[in-house]
Amino acid sequence: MKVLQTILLTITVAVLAFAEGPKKAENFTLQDINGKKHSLVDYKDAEAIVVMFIATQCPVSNAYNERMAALHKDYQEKGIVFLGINSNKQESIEEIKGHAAEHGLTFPILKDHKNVIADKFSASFTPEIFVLSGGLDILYHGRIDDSQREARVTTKDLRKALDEILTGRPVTTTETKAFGCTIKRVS
Amino acid sequence: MQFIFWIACGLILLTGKGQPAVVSRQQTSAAIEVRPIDANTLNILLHRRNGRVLMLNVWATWCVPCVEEFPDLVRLDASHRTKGVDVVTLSIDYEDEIESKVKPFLRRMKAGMPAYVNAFAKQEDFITALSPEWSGAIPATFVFDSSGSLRETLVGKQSFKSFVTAAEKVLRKRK
Repeated sequence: MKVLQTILLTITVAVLAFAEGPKKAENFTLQDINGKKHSLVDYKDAEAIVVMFIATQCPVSNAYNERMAALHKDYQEKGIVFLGINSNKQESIEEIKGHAAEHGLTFPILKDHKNVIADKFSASFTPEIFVLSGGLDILYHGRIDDSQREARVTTKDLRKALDEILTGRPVTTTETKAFGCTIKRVS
Repeated sequence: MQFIFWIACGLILLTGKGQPAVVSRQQTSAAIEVRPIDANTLNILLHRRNGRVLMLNVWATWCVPCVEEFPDLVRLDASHRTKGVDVVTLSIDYEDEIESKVKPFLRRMKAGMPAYVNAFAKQEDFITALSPEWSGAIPATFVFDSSGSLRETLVGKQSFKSFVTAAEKVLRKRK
């Protein structure tokens, strides 16, 4: 009897999870470091929107500067939009501007004062990635790849997800984990 | 094949063989010992508790809030070691940074607690082994009770007071 109950419960949970579909992101509007406003709904026609919570002082995020610049370069012309978000309370707009120029980060970087957007996304570390559809479904959440040291990378998770989206396939791995720096929130 | 692997893990757990096992306290600050930790060693560390609570701090030398809270962990070790709490540190610096970065830092902190460096092949396996709910953000401190069950998770920089509160909460449940 207990076995039957367990099987029924498992099936119910699986059906509910399937019926629930992907989680949705809430639209937001933020200014980038040059004062231009960006809303997620502005990009409803994009193939995908890559939202990257990044930092200027986090060594893990900094280890990915070149890889983020390369991803932007490789995928922007394929219709994918990249938005960096800096939610760290101690990193100023001037500091973010200098950091972006120094490291060749040419995608818009939005300043999330008082970590309101990090809270909406439940983002907790940098670099933390969310890939959204034009309709704001969360298609992928997690890391860029599986090693801070580029030479040790074995899975390029973000590239894989973007390639799947571009070819119209469902994203096979929708959640990954990695070490990162805690987002420094206002208290 | 998987079956044989888990049998082997079980035997290791029961017999305590298959070193490197759990690291003991540092004998002198001049001879700091830092061991790599893999799934087997972590399993032993979490479950061979001898009635003691474990506060496992995950940190890195490059992580500013980790470095800032570290003196409070050393203080916690001093104040709660005799009350049944084992404070253990686990760095996610790379194994090839043990000599150049991890040991000098621990020496500077006069850290007498057992110290490890992550040696899991996949960081995701390490994160999930500690807590499936954990995002991987550091610093993170996990408080396990004397049966090896996770009771408290502290993510982000903590104060001495918050470390003590978490430790004593789990200690009280032990009684």
